[in-house]
Amino acid sequence: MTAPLAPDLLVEASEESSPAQPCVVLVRNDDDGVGVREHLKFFGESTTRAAPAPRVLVRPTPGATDQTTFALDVLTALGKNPQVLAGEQLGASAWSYARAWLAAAQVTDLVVDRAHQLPAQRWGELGELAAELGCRVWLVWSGPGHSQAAMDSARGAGVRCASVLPEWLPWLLPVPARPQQPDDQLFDTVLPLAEFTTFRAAARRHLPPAQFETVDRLYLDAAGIADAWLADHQHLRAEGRERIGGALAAWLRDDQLGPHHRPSEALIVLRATQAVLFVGGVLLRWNPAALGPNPAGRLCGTIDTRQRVHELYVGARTAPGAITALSLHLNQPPLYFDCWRLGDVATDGSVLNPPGLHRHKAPAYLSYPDHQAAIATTSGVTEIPCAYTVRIPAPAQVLLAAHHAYRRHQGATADDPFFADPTKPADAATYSRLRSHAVRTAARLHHTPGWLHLDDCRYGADIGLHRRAPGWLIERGLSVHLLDPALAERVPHPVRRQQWR
Amino acid sequence: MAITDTIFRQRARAAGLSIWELGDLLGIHPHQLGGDGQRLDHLPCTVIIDLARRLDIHPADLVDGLDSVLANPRAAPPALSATVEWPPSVATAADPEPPDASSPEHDAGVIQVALAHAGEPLSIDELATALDWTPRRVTAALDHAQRHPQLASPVALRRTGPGLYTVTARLDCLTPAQRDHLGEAQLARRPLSPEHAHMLLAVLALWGDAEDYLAYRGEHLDAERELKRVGLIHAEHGPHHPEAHADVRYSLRYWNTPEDPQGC
Repeated sequence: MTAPLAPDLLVEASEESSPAQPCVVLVRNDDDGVGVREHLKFFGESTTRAAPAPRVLVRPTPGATDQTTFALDVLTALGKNPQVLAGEQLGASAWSYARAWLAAAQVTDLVVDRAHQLPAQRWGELGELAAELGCRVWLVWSGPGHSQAAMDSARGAGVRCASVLPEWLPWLLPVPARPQQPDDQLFDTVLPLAEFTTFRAAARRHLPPAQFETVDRLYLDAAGIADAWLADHQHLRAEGRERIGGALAAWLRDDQLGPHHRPSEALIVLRATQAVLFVGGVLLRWNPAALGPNPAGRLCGTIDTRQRVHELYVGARTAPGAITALSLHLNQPPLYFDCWRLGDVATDGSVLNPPGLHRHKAPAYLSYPDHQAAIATTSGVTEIPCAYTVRIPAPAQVLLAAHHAYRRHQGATADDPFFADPTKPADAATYSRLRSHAVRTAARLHHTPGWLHLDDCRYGADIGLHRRAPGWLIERGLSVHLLDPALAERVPHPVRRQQWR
Repeated sequence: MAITDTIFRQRARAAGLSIWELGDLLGIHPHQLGGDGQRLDHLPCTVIIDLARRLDIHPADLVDGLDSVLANPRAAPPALSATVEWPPSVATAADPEPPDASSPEHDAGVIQVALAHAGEPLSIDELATALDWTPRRVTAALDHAQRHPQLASPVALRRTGPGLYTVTARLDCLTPAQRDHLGEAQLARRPLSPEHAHMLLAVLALWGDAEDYLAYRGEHLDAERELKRVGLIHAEHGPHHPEAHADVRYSLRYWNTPEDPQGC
C-alpha cells in the first residue's frame, strides 16, 4: 500500500497547504491514540541518538508557560545535557540560543508532542520559527483545546498550514533509519613501519594480496590527489619554507590527512603524500619517536568524529563550543581568533575564509629568537590559521554554525567580529577571554592539550623557559623542508615521464 | 669450484662496497675483481687473504684448487719443545711482553668492543689514545683478532683503509634472503633527514649524468655512505653510477612492481 498524499485527504486548512513545504502541520490526535504515542516514542529515540539531526521531537514541560522553559525543552530535544543547561543560567537568552541551534542543525521537521498544553503565545512563535528556518512544525494535538486558534495564530506569522489525521504520521514523518557505519577494510591490517621511501614495497612484501590491494588503492588515490595539489602550489616553493609550509599544513589538516580518523588510513595517506612531495622537492618528514606507542593514531584530526564533538555540543552557549572546537581543530591556542569577521565564516560553519583585512594581534613572543629557533627545529612552519582557508570537519560544523546564527540574532553584520566581547559586541573578544573559554571547556572534557596549558605549566610559560611551539604539524611530529630546487627540477616525475627502466 | 660471480657480488653489496671501492681497499684495479674465481688466480696471496677477510669468504672459494692444499698439515719448526703451542700466537712472539700487556684474547676482545662502540673506523694511534695502551699493544691485539676471527663471533674486524679499522657484521652467517630482509629493517624505520633526502634526490635527478653526480657526491660523501649502508642506494658499477634500490623506485611510483621496471 502506498502512502496517500495528505493534501488529498482531510485537509482543513488552506487549500495551498502541503506538508512538502515549510509549514505548520496539525496532527489531530484527539483520542491520544496508542499508535501515535508508539510512533513518537521510536521517532524520539532515533532523533535523540542522531542529535544534532534535522528532525527534532520536543516534549514540553507539563505546566510550563514561559518561553525560557520551552526554549530549554527545545535545547534538550536537540541533544543538550539538561544539567549543563541548568548550570548555564541562560535566562531570557535561552530562546535565542534555541533558535541558533535549530538553525545550525538545519532542522527540517520540528515535532512538538502534546502541543495542546502549550500556551497560546507559543503557537505564534512556532509559526515564526517555521518561517524563519524554512522548516515544518508538527503540532501533535492530543487533547482538548482550540486547535483552530493555534492554526490561526501560526497562520498569522505568514506560514502555510495543514491538518492531517494521525494515521498518516508514520508515512509523513517516518522514523529515520540508523545510519550504516562504513566497513573498516583495514581494521586487522598491520602496516609496516617503513619510511616513505620503501613503504609501498614493504606493504606489498608483507601483506596478503587482498589487503595489499586495498592499501595500494588508497595509496595511489592519495598520491594522485597530492600530485594535483603540488602542481597547483609548486609556485609557492620559490616563496620559501614558511609560505609553502603554511599552505601544506592547512591542506594536510583539512583535506588530505585530518579527515581520516582511522590510524591505518592516515598512515597510508601520509606515506603516499610524502613520496609525492619528495620528488617535487619538498621533504615532509615524520618523526614518530615522540608520539607514543601508536604514532599513526596521532596523525588523525582532533575533532573529526561525532564522538569527539559530542562533549562540545552539550551546552547551549555557542561561543565556548565554537572556540574550543576551532582550537582543537587547529591544535593552537585561540591566538588569531580575533581576526575573523562574521562574513568570513560560512553560515553552515563549514569554512573560515582568510579575512580581507587582518586584525589579529600576534603575540610578541612569536618574534623572540628562541621561539623562532624552536619552530625552525620542529615543524619549520609558524601556522597562522587566518592566513589560509580553514575547513571544519563535518561533525563540528554545527558548533560554528550555531555561533554564527546566534551572532546574527544579536544583530551582528558581516563586518562584526565572529567572536565578540560580550560586554562590547562590536569589539572582538580578547585573547584572555577566548583562552579562558577554551581552557574551561576542554577541562570539562578532561582533555587539556599542551597548547592550552596556563601559566602555571612550566612548558606553557616563557619565564626563563622556552615556550612550547604549538601547531598542527608539531603535534603530529611533522616537519617541512625544502630540497634543492635545482635537483628537484631535474627529477623525472614518476607518472608523467617514464624514464626509469 | 670457485665462488660464483653472483655470490661474490652479493657479499660485496652486503658489505656496502662497489667493485671500485673494494679494489681501492685491496690496492688493485677493479677489473681484476670483475669475473669468476678463475680470474683471481693471478692475484697475490696477500690480496686473496685480504679479500677473504673483507667478504668473509673461504679462500678456497676464491681460488680453484686451493681447497685441496689447505688440508695439508702444517710443518713444525725444528727444536721446539712439546709444550710449545704451534702455530704460535702473536703474544708468544719473540719480542718481550710490553709491561702493560694482558692476555691476547682479552686485548682482541677489548679492541673489537671499542671499535663497535665507536661506530666508525679508527686508526691505531686513535685506539691507543682512547684505550690508554701503547701502539704496540694495539697492533698486537689487532693482529691477534685478524688471525683468530672466531674471537669476534658475529662481527668481524675490518680494515677500511690504510691503518684504519672497524668491526662490521660477518657476511657468512646469514643467507642472502635473511640479509635482504634485515636490510629492509634498516631501510625501514629511521625518518629520512634533509641531508639524506638531498642525496637520494641527487641520485634520482642526476642518474645518467656521471659528471654532475660525481661533483655533487664529492661534497656529500658521508650522506652517500649512509644511504648505501642502509641500502637505499647502491653503486655496483662504479661510484659515478648510483641507483636507487628497487624498493625505493617502486615506492616512489617509478615502477609498477618491485621486480619489473618494464611494467611502468
